[in-house]
Amino acid sequence: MKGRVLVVDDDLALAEMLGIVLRNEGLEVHHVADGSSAIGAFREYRPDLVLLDVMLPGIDGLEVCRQIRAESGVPIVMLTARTDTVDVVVGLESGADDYVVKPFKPQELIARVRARLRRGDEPEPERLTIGDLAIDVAGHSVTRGDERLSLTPLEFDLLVALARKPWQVFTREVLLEQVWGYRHAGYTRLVNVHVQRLRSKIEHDPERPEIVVTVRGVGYKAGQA
Amino acid sequence: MRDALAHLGRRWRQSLQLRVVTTTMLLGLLVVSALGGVLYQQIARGLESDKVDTSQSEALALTAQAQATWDASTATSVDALDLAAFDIMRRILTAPGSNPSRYVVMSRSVANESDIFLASLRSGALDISEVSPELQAAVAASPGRQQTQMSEVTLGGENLPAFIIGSVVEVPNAGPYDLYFIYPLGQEVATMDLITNSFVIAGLTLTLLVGAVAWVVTRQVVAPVRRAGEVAQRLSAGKLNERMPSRGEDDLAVLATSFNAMADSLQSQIRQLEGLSAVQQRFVSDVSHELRTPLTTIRMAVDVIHDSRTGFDPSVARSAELLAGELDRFEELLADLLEISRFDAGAAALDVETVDLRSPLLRVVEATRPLADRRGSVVTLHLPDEPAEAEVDERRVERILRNLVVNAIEHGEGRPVDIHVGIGSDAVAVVVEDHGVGLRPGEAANVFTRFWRADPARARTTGGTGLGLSISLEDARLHHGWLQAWGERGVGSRFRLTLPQRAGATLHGSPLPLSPNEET
Repeated sequence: MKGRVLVVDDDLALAEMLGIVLRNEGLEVHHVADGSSAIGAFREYRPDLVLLDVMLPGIDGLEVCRQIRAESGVPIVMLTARTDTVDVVVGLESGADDYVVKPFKPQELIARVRARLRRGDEPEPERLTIGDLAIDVAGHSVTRGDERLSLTPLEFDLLVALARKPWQVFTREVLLEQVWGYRHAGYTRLVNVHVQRLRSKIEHDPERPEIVVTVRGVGYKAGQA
Repeated sequence: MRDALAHLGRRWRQSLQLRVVTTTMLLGLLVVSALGGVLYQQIARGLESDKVDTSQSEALALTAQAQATWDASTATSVDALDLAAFDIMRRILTAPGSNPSRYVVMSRSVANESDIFLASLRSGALDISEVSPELQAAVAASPGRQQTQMSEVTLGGENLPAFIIGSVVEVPNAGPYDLYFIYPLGQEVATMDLITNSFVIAGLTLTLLVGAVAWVVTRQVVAPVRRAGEVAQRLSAGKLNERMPSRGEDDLAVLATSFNAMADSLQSQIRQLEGLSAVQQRFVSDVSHELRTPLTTIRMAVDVIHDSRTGFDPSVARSAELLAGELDRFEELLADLLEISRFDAGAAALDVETVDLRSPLLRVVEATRPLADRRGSVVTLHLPDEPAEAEVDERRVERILRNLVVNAIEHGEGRPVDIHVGIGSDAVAVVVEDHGVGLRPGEAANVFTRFWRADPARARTTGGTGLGLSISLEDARLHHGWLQAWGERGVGSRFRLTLPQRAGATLHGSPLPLSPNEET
């Protein structure tokens, strides 16, 4: 696995350990210890993935996440010590693609990082439509008429997964497996939050979604064109 | 009609004011009626005796006058006597006016034995038929005295009480003739009617007035009490800033003051508790972060060491294994402790959605299959064909189910474990049943106690933190659900989770029995 990872964590021991584990996997690692310098380091280092602790001195992790997300769709994985629903949802809503709860096993972290970096392989040229949107899979673009919609890679993957099989109802578990690359019932909340975020970008009225439709009690599916 | 009665009954029970006003009015009505009755009787008696006295003296005088006229009369023939009698009747006895105060009847005495018969005479509409034979006999028996009788006469189509006086005049040559003076009491009856009407009107007015007074007075007392009730209700609904207005120095002001003092003290206690709870929550959160970060580092370091243990000296390699294993337990314990603290701090929140309980059950059974295989237990799912849907927090429910299934496998001694799902009208239930050692009497209540172990002497083979069932119970409670245990020594144990289908609804029963002997 190749790639550049920016680790933003104030705990030096943990940061060093993260460095050891990630380098063992063949990744390049750069570390910053506080929120204020994180955004500068991000611009300079141009990482392929950001590992971000939620609690940081200076600017907190959520704000860093928002700032990075404002200028880039780079995958962000949050490290959180809290499992409270509210904390996790707030973290995801600030733009994180995924999160791991401390204490995590190194394999668990590597699996997440790998899943987020896996997208490097060039996809086959493929054109899809969902609702009134056109998707160019290879070109990573979603357009409505002449307008190009800006989605993060994760949101793009989510939309592509739904658009590829418009007849299928996806449970949250299946989406989690296909888009995030792992299966864990406790993390289905990820799907809910990201569907909301995706809707806010692509739906005409996110309150009454027509492109990504909720199937009550089951999951989601692509809306009728 | 019945509804109206029921409504009235409810009003009666609920409204102190209604009860006080009604009772006061009833008592007032009773007093006014008694008083009115006594007064009425006295007035009636007075009027009657007045009438009797005047009538008697008038009759006496008229009789004497008639007797004097007869005595002075010179008539001897029947015709002359008749003429004289007619003259006396017209001039002396007949009362003036079209509606006379008295009616006079002259008729031959019962005891008269003379040969001369004079015509009976009458002054007006009433004749001898109004006079009872008893009175006529009494008059004949003692002609020197006035005889009286109360009777009833019919005048102008209406029945009236009347006072009748009988006396005798001695007609020269023709013997004794009776004079009957009939005094109808029409005037008196009219007066009494008027008085009755006035009494009734006055009585009713008085009763209404008493009622109104009672209403005003109770209102002054009841209104503050009601206000206290309303304020107390708002207080109990959580509006801790509600207070009663307190004015003056009377009893009600004292009530308001003490009420407000109570509310103040309640409010400050609640504030204090809230403060404590907030401190506790922050503490939990801080501990969580502070402990978890170093633990993560240790975790990763241990894993790196553990992965490269093959190159180590055997004792170091074994140490690395033990370290890794115990770290797992430590993590589990920490996670469970933090979860329990969150419940204790009231910080646990439900993330509710509609879930078909069959899917988390399938996942749990799948995930626990390796453990079941190791223990030699066969886990059988008895699932209904229709979805067992309920509005629940899937993560928590799955955690409860995993705990129950793991427990059943661990204590099932390799015997089968059965899982039943029941669907009721407003609840769903899951029963996890093992056929292992079971529980001793009294233990069913203890299994949910933190760190409780069924048999302290028994070797601990599979970790478990001792907090699993406590957390499950808290999870069930958070759903307003039930988690109950049943067990019998040597038979096995059953754990039943019952959850309301609609989030926040109250459970009334479970679709599955807790013990195998019981029918739902």
